[in-house]
Amino acid sequence: MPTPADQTNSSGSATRSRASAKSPDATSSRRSRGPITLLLDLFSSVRFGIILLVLLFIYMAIGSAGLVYPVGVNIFSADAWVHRQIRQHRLLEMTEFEWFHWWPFDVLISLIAVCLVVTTLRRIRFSVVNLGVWMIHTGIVILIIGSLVYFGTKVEGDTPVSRRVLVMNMVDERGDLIGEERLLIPFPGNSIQIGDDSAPVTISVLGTDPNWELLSGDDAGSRVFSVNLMVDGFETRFVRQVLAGYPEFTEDLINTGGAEQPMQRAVKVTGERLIEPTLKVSLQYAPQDEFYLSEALSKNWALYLREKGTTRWVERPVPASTPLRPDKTGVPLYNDYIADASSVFMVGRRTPGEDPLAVRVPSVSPNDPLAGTDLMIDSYLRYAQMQTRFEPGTADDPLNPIIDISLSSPGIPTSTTRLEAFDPERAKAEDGVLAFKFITEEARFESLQRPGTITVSIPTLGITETRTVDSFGDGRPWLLEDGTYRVMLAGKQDDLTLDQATVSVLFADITTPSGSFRRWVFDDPTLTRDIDPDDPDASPAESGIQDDSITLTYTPGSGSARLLFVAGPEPERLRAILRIGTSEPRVLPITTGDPIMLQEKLFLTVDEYFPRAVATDAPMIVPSTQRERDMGNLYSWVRASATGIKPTWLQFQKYPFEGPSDLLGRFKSLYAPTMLRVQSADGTWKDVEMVFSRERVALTDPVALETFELETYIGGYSDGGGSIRDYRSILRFDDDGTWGEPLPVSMNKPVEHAGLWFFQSQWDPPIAASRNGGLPSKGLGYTVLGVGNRNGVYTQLLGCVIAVIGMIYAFYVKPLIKRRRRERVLAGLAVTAQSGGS
Amino acid sequence: MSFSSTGLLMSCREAIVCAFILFFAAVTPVRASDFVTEVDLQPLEELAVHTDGRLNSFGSYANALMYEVSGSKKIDGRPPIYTYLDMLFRPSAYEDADVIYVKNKLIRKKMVDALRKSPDSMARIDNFEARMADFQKVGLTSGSILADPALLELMGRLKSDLIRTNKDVTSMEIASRVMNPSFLLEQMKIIPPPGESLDVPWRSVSALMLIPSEQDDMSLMPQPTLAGLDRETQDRIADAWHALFTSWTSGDSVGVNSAVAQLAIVVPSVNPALYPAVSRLSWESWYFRNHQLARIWLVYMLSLILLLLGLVYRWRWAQWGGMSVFLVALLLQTFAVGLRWYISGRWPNANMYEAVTTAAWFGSVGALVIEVLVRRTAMKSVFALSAATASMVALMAAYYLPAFMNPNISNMMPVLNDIWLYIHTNAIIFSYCLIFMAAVSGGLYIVNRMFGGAPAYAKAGGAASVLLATGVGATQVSKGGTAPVRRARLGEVLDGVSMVLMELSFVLLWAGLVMGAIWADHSWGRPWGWDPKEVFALETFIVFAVLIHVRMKVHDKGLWTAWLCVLGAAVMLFNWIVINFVITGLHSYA
Repeated sequence: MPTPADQTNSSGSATRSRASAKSPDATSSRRSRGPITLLLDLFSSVRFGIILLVLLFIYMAIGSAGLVYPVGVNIFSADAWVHRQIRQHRLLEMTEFEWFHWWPFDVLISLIAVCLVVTTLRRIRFSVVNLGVWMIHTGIVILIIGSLVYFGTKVEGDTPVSRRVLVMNMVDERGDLIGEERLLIPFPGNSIQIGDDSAPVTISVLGTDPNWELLSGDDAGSRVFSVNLMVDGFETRFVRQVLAGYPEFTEDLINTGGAEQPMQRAVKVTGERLIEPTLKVSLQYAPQDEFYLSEALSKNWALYLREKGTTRWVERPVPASTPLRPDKTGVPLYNDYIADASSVFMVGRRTPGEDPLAVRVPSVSPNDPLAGTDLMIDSYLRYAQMQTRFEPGTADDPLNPIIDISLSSPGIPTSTTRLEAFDPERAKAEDGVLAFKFITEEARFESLQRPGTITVSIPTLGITETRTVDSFGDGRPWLLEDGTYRVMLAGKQDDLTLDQATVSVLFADITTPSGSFRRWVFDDPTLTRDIDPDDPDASPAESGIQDDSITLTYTPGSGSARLLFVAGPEPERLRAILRIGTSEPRVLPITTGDPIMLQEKLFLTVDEYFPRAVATDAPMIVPSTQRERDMGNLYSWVRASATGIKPTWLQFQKYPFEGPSDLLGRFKSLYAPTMLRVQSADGTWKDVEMVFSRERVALTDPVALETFELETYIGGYSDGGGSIRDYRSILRFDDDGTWGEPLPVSMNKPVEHAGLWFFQSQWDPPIAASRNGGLPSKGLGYTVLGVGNRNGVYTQLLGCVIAVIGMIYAFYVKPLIKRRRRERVLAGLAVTAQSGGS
Repeated sequence: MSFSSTGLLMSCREAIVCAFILFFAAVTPVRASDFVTEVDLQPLEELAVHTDGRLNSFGSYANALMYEVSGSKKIDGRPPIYTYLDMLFRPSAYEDADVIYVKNKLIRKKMVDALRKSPDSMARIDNFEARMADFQKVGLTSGSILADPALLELMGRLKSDLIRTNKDVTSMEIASRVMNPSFLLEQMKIIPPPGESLDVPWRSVSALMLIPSEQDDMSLMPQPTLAGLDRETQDRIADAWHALFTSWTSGDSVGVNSAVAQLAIVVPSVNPALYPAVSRLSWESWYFRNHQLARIWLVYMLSLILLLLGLVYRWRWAQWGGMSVFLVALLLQTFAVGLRWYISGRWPNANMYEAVTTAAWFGSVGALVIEVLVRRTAMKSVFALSAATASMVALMAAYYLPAFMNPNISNMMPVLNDIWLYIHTNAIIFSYCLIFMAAVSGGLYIVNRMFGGAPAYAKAGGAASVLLATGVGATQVSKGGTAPVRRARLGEVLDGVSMVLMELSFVLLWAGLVMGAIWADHSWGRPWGWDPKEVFALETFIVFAVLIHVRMKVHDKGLWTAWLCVLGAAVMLFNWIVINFVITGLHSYA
């Protein structure tokens, strides 16, 4: 394909060929041409080249943008466009990488390459003037060859590497090992049990500090990775601090109960650095020897199995779907395939269509716990979340009242809560502020509106008096019989969950003529008991009523809930008792779906109420408009089964972590292996764990993370991403048993090791403590490295550079050469004319 | 910076202010209140505030934060810093004030419909009909209306649609959150840390004094001494802050001005070593006060009109006038780009706003260079005309579409800190501007043909036409000839211009793609990831490859070239707009 600068020549030749085509001689010569010549003519035709380029344009547009057209005026807004990715259609199910690696694309590119070669050789004379176009065409052909090698052999994935692993074991007094060495990834909240079952020791990670400053020793002032562990199970609970690279500084801290500084170094209290020398803990490298293939590049599904109690996962690669295959023997990527419509939920109680897969996943390893048994995958969901759904139930179903409520306020995301009246744990929420009860008689509703009351009766004196609990304010005692009997309220706890029941208790300090004691007055009188003041540590469970001369009865009333939902006594009836911002309780009749203003800017809606709810668990397909775009496959599911194994849903997990002690920050919520009970051929049962994840590939050499550094802009790290300048992992590769030199990998600066490039991909950001008990983390405890090969990349680069030089030559050097030639010719002509004239 | 150089810069700025008066004179309506006009917040605007790894001028930060509330709308025409302080000191005045901007017109309509269905809400909202009409037109509403129970169900539904409407509801929630006085106070991180380390966060005024409250004077109790700050300085800041609060709430403009002046003196004195140059902060707030100088599009428009007159009617005065105005516009734009570079401390090409405005600047500079080269040919002034159009469109977009091109300065993402990336993105955006310019000359060619122009074309191509245009045996696009000859030659001239621009963008785009691949190879692990953005850059390249080859085969080369140039620009704009806003990819930052 000549460039425009050739147009004078090329148009000339085109004109010539058009002229010759019209002549009878030319027609007869074309007839006489053989098929090879015809083919060569085709490949050296500019028109054919243009057609190929247009086809390439269309193919690329379809694969990359799909179908896009505007439906609104504001073209800058996503609303104004309809967008469908054609390659994600059920018939194709292809990633961008797969689309651009499919045979039609390969054929198209190959034809372009052939066309370039044939045209260049046949139609463009190799000369100084044509050097530019030769270079452009040659460059592009070299680029195509390089790309075939590159994309044909491309492997890419990622791997998380923890900064250190805690290695723990117990030794006896002689220093001999007791039991096995145990490993724990130092991330706040991770924990493990060691020692024998009779006296287990629980070790949990309290916190890590990536920049702990050494205060003594030769390296005082330098900063190291430090881990604080809570050790529970020995005589005293203590905290052990371990520093990476400085085992000699390992020490314990104990709680001395001091007001100023409760945690003291053990050495200051006992004279010894360690409270329990039998517990050995050290921080060592946590080498990673595998990486996981990227699912964004192409489908690389795998199932992992292991027998319960073992740690190592055994992989089964899962066949991936291929385009235009109606038999569905591979797992797809973008669309849902459901074998049994009743096994999934959809929004609005719709039923999905059925379109089962038939993917056979055989075992490939003799270590497979189900070796020889094929697993079958019959369903795939792109984006779903496991949901417990309550069906309304029928009149025959037992009572099981549940409500779904939403609380909303401007500027604060709407929170939805489900309350289950018969489940003591789930009958309340928000620390008991919200509660749900079912009543069997209307009188109970009356009492629920009233404040809690306490009734004292002293049968011997014929006294029975009732007071509201609130009237005990300010710690004033209730004096009876001129102060002979005194009752003081020490506290109360309403709606406590106790052994699957809800109870309320009031603590009363009672003085009688025979002495003083504390009574725990339960709303259920059978539980009420006295506590001996001389033995306050005695278990209340073992106590009984010590003094029966006085009886106290506690009626909790509305309890501690500020918003109490009450269902019953008729099953369909739902009301709420509101005690927010009002001195008197307010009764609100509830209609599902209607918002109620609780107070200014706070609204409540009861979305559902089922008196006879029936619970079912299933993945719920999230509507496409509600899917977060950046989630990848984190919410994908497959349903697997086998002979003797009922169909089981498995959620995609980014990495098949070995156990909860292995988890790293951002992946913490993702570890959920599915347990199966499987009957073997010999009739025995075994428990098998299974995980749906990505294929793994062994690294040539294990890699460990020495440190992780964060470089920030002015003012240090803040939550906003704009404060980070660079992320840097300092890596060490295992070089035949010894750790190599530290190598820094940062954004845009990868390292190459044994044919693979390692890139900085993700990091461990600091996490604030979460409300539900999640521990805070200072972060920087692990890194996620991108890993990939790059065969043929230099060939690609060579092609590109040759092409760009060719372009500059063709557009800017060639006209200069032409001008110089023209000037030379004209100068020659002038000389000739002059000499002729003379 | 020394006093004298600061003074020089300042007086230089005053001179430029005078020069710009035509285009940048304040056009915002001023509220008829003495207090608003009498308070002088400029010293406060020029204080540094620490936010997300940057030290901004408080003026520009207030601008950015108030943008989260009211979009590009100004509340009663007041400067953003005024609104910031007013929201902080008098929050109750804003509870039912129409200050929150709802961008999506469809959502506005849905909200009004939902409110209309509830008689309670209609009764609750003062002046319902007039406010709703204004809301639908202008888009501003109040926090209390957004919190109306009648909108609850609608808001929940809009929020659950993550693709279409979630971001609109989220931005309303952000607006409510930003208006919260404790948030506004917390964001005032204007007190430098002690020492010389750059890694220590700045402290907020809230560390000196709790949130001011109109009812509760106790909240102004002094706080414990901050680390590295002597008690006297801390008290001076706290006193000035207290004075600002009390004078503001009592409407005492003299007191406000004196407190502001006091703050501007004491705060930088906390740690002069860490405090950024006053001149930079001062320029920064000036830059944002003047809409990032995007109104230069008016100058470009003037030059475009003159150059068009010059091209069509061949009036020499119009040609010269057009070129002169173009030069002025380019100088102003160069100043704007340079100022942004100076303020941000890095070359301005890190987000959509900077990519578009810098691309336009590249195009104009490129046009000027080419104009010098072609000054002796008939092509002269057409490149300036194309560049003026491109720059005018780009700056108009920057001025009128701030919602899609956020003008605020942020730090470079870590992945963008790479030399190859600098070259790659600049080469690509330069080529994009040239592509747009080629489409302008191509469009003019089509118009010329529609009005009966001859099917002429530049026979030697683009650069070759220029190189062969002078001297003996010059091509037809060389200068000279009689008026009818020149008129007949217009098509050839326009085709030649398109080809020059196309060739240049062809090389630049290819080189840009290659450099991007080199960067991507060591940043993402693959030189080419089939990301939509890179695919469509390649698609643009393919359009031009087709153009080059089509020119060999067709008779009407000029018309084919013109249409393919327009198609190339359409693919480029599709890449810039649709791929960015509809189809996401790895290149999400520009």
